[in-house]
Amino acid sequence: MERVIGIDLGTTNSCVAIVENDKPLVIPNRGGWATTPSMVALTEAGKRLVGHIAKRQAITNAENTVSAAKRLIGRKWASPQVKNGVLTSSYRIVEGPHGDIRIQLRDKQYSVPEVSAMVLQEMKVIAEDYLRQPVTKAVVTVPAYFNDNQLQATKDAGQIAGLEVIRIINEPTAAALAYGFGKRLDQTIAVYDLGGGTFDISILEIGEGGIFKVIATAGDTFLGGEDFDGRIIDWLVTGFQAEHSIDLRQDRMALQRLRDGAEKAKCELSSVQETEINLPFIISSGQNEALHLQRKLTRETLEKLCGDLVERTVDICRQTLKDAKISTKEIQEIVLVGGMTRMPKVQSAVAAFYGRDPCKGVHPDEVVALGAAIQGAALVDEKKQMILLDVTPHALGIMTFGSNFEELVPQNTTVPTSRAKTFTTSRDNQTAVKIIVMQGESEQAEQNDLLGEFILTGLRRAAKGQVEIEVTFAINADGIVSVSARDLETGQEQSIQVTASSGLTQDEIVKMMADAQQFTVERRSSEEFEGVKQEAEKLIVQIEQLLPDVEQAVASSDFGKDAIGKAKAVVERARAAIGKKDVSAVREQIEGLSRTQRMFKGVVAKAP
Amino acid sequence: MPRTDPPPSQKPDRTSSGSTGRTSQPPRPSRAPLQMDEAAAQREREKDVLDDLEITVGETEITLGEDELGESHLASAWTEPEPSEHDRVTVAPPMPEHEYVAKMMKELPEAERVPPSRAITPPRGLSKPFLGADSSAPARKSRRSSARPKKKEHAEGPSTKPRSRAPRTPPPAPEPIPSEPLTLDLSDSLLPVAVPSPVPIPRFEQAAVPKFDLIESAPAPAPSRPRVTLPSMQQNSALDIVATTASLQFGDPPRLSFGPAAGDALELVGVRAQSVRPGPEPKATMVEVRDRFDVGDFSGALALVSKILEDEPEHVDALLYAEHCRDVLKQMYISNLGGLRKVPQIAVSAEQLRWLALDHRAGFLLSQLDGRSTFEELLDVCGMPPFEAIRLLVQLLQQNVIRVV
Repeated sequence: MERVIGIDLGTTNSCVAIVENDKPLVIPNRGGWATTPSMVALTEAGKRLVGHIAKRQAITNAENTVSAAKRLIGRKWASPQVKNGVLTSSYRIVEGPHGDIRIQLRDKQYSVPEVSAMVLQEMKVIAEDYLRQPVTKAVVTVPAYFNDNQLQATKDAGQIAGLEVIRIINEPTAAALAYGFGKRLDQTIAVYDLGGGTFDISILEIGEGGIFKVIATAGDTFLGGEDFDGRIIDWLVTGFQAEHSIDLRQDRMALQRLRDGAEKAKCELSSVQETEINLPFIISSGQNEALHLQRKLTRETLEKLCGDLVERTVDICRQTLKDAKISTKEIQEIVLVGGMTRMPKVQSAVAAFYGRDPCKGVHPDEVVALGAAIQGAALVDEKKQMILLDVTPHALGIMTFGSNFEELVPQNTTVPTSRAKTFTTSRDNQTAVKIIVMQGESEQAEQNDLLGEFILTGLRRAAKGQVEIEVTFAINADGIVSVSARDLETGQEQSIQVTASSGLTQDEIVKMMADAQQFTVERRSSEEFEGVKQEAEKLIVQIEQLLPDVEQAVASSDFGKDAIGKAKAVVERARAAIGKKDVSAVREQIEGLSRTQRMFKGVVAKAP
Repeated sequence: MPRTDPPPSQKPDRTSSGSTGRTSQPPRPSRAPLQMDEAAAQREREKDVLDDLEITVGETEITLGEDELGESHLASAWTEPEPSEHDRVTVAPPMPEHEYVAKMMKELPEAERVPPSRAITPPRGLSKPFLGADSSAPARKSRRSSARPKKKEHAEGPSTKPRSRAPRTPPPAPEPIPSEPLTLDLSDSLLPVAVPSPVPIPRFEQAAVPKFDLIESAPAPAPSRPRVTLPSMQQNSALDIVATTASLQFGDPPRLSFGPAAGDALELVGVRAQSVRPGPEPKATMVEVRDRFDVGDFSGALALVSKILEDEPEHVDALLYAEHCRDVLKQMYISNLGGLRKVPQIAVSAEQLRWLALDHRAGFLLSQLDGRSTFEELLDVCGMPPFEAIRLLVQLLQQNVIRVV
């Protein structure tokens, strides 16, 4: 049975998990970390960096490091989120050929799905290294508010990375799955997700028989752990400036260290009351000496610095419950997701708001990926079948006379679903109507996202308001939206299937897939070569160290001279193979080197 | 810069060295004076200069190279009546060589057996053939011969020169031969102490090689060659030698005396340089860059070329040299690190670290060491130009701030 991995494709960090022996577990990356930063960078030499290594140079190489690509995925160039991203991102965002967006890294432009694919590819490699077998199927999580285009773009990213995304599930749903795994629950829960870059709050109902239903979801896509780090950095910079009259923000290296130091201190203060931020040689004083930064930060100070950020999350929680018409008393459990929820101040604020202590039974960094893995395992194993009832993240409707938006499928409607509404013509003798399908919550149509449009013709000539047209929206279990319009009098009907687009053509996706595949092959090949090269070089060094003693011991005999000559030849051949970067040749020579090394050791051991 | 040529103020001591040698060496009638027509006039001027001269450690070192160069040049360009270097070898010590060496070394104070100034002289790479096979051995001997008495003089001070020389050299002639050039006299006078000494020889050789290279690379300096454009008063010792060579090869009388009062070759070169091309300062510095590059002093060349690029960022030659230097140095540095796949670790405690004299870039690099990342990964994340980062890492390794695992 093929393994399906679960991937939490986060804004700031990603995580991959799998179910093994009926237990979900997170697969650590090569550095041993459970999560991998969702960052991609291109070095000056054209080398691609993904994950921690990209994060470590994120400030010193800011123009060529992409972070939080998830905020941009599936969005159009004209969208306000992209306009905001253009202003706030350190990397360059440009308009793509299909009204989509591209990211300029050095001399090449990348689509956002392509960048996300690099992260997914890293997750895939981590899983393959662990499982020692190819992985081709995955369940990927996305925020509950993602629209169709964003979902499609995420699927495209998976495809480019060489993964078949067999299901996309909401992050809160995944968290709830992991939370409810192995339990028979029937309760309403809140999933409070404060990650590195975003905040989401979701209310879910978990029914008996494994039915998970998202009742409401909301959040802030620009509120997360990075903002907390920023407050600490501000505090450090201000203090340093007061002491030395030097603005550390002007130096990228200093800023990179500040960010690392701030994040480290923030994490430490979740478990201790006080920590020291010690950054020696942080900047040059301009008088041929380097200055040190050394400050103590207490938890109390941190909470003062970030109090308003925590309060913002509580405000969003309050508004969400109000919109969903749910009281805090109805919430039976609060599941904390995201690294920032380790902060005691966050936990206490959540507890104070909901009137109960949050659940600490799940790992905040891993719970979403674990849920995705559980879902993945369930999809390939009929015994583990469970029902996931997703909801529509946004309202669906059509544009009506006066550029108004008429909602047919409300936000948070459980799918699959079908809703219909009857409309009339707005002009006399109108024989055709244009059905413009939109998604969003605004009453003004232009503020919502356009999904598609079609024309229904052949209407009976009549005064306005006399011809009735029924418009039906149907969303199946896979989230595919179909819209039909029918003249109730004549039965004339037209329909459209709304196909989400990530902004990439199929040809582009195929080409990107080929590039990604090529990159993987090269990477594997390089890693393999480095492995055998190191092994060979180690043996060569050992042989060369033994050689003088061996020569002294056996050089007087013809046999000894011959053996030494052969040994030197083996070393030379191995070096030549290394020089040619020929993996198989190096591997062949390793055998000879090993024999030589063993022989030399034996000679030296027997030598008087 | 690790290799900086000595300041021009040391030049007069070369003359003092010569005078010392001349007074200690008996006349050699077989050697005809090189400049009989000028000797009388020069002698008086030099005598005035020499009376006030003192010898210091650094000067000894400078003088070595120049004497050696002057002699080696003479060996190739003035076969008659100038004696060949082999003549010196034929003047054997009054006992077997090894015994003589042992005796001399025994007599010498411990501190003098290895000249301290030589011991710390950084070796310079031999990038080109050494004056041809037939002349290399004599050249080495001439270096030795010029080195030893200077060291002795340094140890004893100027006022003790006659005393130090008396017990181990043949009775010196009371008066120098007026007509003989200074440098030649110096060499000859040093012959008794020029017996090969096992310790200093390689160092003298290494230190002197680049200067021979200079002569070899410019046997007939073209008028356009920029190295002659240096103002005479700013030239270093190596360039002095080139100037001397140039003057001889252009058929000028072989003025082997030095110093402004002697109207020496330096002045001649300065005048000629101005007449040929009054090059601006950066071009003059490019000469040094080329010279340093030629002798394998890539870090020195890079430091100089960086200065040029500060003034002229588009200087094509400078950019080219900078690139070459960086390439070569980068390979050397990588070799020092043991390869970019190695993993560095911090080798000192955080408390010790704060007391080190590091700059903020080194501090940044250290902050990136996590005990798992390879040098290659460090270069990827540090955001510095790779060359700079590697150079800093090598420095940190040499200072034992980091270690490689």
